[in-house]
Amino acid sequence: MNLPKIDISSLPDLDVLTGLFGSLKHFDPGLAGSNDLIIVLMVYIYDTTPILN
Amino acid sequence: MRIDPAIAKLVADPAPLFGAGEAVRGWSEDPAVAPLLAELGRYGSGTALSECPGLSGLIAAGAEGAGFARRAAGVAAQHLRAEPLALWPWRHFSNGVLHSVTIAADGDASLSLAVVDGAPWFAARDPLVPDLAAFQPGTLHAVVVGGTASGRIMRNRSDDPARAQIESQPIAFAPGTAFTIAGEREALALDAIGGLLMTLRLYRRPAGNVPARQYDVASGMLVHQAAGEQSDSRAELMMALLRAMERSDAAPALAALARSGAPPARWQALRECLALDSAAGFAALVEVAAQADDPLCAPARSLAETLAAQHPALARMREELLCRA
Repeated sequence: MNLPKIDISSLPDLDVLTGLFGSLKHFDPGLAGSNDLIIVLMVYIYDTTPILN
Repeated sequence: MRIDPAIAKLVADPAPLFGAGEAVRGWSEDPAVAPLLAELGRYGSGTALSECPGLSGLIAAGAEGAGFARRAAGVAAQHLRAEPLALWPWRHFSNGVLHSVTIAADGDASLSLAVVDGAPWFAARDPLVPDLAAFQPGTLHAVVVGGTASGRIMRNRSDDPARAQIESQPIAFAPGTAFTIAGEREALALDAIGGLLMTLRLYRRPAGNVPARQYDVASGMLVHQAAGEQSDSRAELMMALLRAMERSDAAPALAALARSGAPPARWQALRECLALDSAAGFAALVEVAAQADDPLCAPARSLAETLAAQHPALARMREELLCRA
């Protein structure tokens, strides 16, 4: 079956958007700290070696 | 590349990096501290605070917490000052206004010291920003160790996530003042700080996956919602990366993420899966749409209808999937 390629920007969000963990607007800097742990992101970089003939 | 001499020296002698471990070990084995840390472990595994008499005493109103905080600060803050490059085993944080150091953590619970510096706090205030209340799931018990301040505990009385009904209770902070914030329904606001405000804080992460929500205090309108689980946001970033890399072999993993968890995270997994591999994504979407009791049933059904109308191949696929079910 020939299925379409779908662009993510064409897919709707839910009515209420949910931001990343710890994202808050105009948050009092004196109150941060109990629940704003950093997102841990691990990125693997694959380094390919060109094949030499 | 410039390498600071203090960091370059660590290559030859890494001992300063690990010195904090020794300092922590010595403190945590202190006969006055060890039972408290054992209780922290139980509290972090879900035991009620009422069954942890040592911890309860520590964050109760009075002077006991202040003595403990002074001893803990003696270990943590002094060591970090002497060895700023030490690998402190727990979180330490400063944004120029709030300075905090976690002095013990176990499971979902942590014990920390926090100082809010009144002058930069006041300077950072923007009078044009509306008064917002941030409800962040998790429970905070705290006792003031030093300084004074005034503020409010705001309580959301509404059961409608879209609109809060906020009541404020004024609170005056002075050494020995204890307070509890049940984050899903309560939020703290600071209105004035006299110099510094130092607290000893016992925090426990929430058991359920409930989003953090911010409301405009005056109108009660929801102004922002954020993921309640760190892992949901991590998965969201990873999914975006896998899509950008066109790793269609990850589609089954994305479809699995769409089946359980918090609805916003599941919806994002459905979107990513559809974009990565339309067959796998559409099958997951049809599966969700077929579950009448699923909170995502209605949006999934609507999206499946739209996609089937746009793409005849997906319409045929849906018929086949529904026949099989």
